Amino acid sequence: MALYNLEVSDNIMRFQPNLGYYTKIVIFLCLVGVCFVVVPFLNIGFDVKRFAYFIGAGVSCYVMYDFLFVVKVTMIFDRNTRAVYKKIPGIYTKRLMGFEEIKLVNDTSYGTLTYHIGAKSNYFVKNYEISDTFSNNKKGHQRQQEFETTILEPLLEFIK
Amino acid sequence: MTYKYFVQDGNKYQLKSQLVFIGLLSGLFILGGLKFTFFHDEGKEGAMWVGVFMILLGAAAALRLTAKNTIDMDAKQLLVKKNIFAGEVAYNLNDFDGFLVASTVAFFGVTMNATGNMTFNVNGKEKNIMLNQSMFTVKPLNEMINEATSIMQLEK
Repeated sequence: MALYNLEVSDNIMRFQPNLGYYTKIVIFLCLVGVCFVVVPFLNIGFDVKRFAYFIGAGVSCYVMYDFLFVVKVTMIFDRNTRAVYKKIPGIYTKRLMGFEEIKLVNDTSYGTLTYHIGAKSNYFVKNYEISDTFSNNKKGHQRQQEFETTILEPLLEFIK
Repeated sequence: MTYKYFVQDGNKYQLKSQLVFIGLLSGLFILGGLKFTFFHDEGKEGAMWVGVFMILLGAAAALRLTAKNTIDMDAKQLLVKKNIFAGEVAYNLNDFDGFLVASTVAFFGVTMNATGNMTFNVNGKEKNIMLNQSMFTVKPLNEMINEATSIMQLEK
């Protein structure tokens, strides 16, 4: 599946759940562009301009963080060690939990449905994203269906 | 084994009401409402109605202190009494679907409001039953759910 870069071999299953953030990053980069390229040439007061610069700076920090640490996160399910790993390419790989501890969590904290996984004892406190966000409309339902059939069901089978 | 969030009575486990949390919440609303109702500025009658509305909200919140949720492991059911006026409703634990923590996150990752729910699937219809509520953190809800999980013997 293109959206998640899914790779399955005998013992390792890996995918990148956050690739949907690229759209967000492009939109925010456009916003930053507007703040720093278009606003200086507008005929408005300096106070308003300064406000726009602040927004631009904040948004560019956000974009940088997303680009470095969030977008390329890879979840690795390894059958050899029976554990889940979270890999940020080029920075670190962290062991999250064993296969026995995995619990599936539906998260709607930001308004849209997302699938998370967490370790058994504190799965609502500390959990890790494994899917894109699915909004509550026709397109979102379709994408959710697609995710469930191509990734979630094989995954649940895989970690047995 | 003793539980922090449940009172055990034989094989019945009653969920403790959140006296401190709800008391604080409704107390603040009622105090603020009283202030606006009786000590508003001269000629600002609108403040009085805001105060009355706040008192009503606080009273509605305080009503939740009289809720009674009991897990009955003999009859395998959850008895829900939302407040002192409402009747008792029984849900069969065979219809139990899962736990749900619904939280609202705003302002750079600060959890503003979170509720711990039990989801039942009654004849194909989804029923959410709110057990506890918290602000700023979901950790107490997680602990409550862990206790409920061990009471209902869902873990093998």
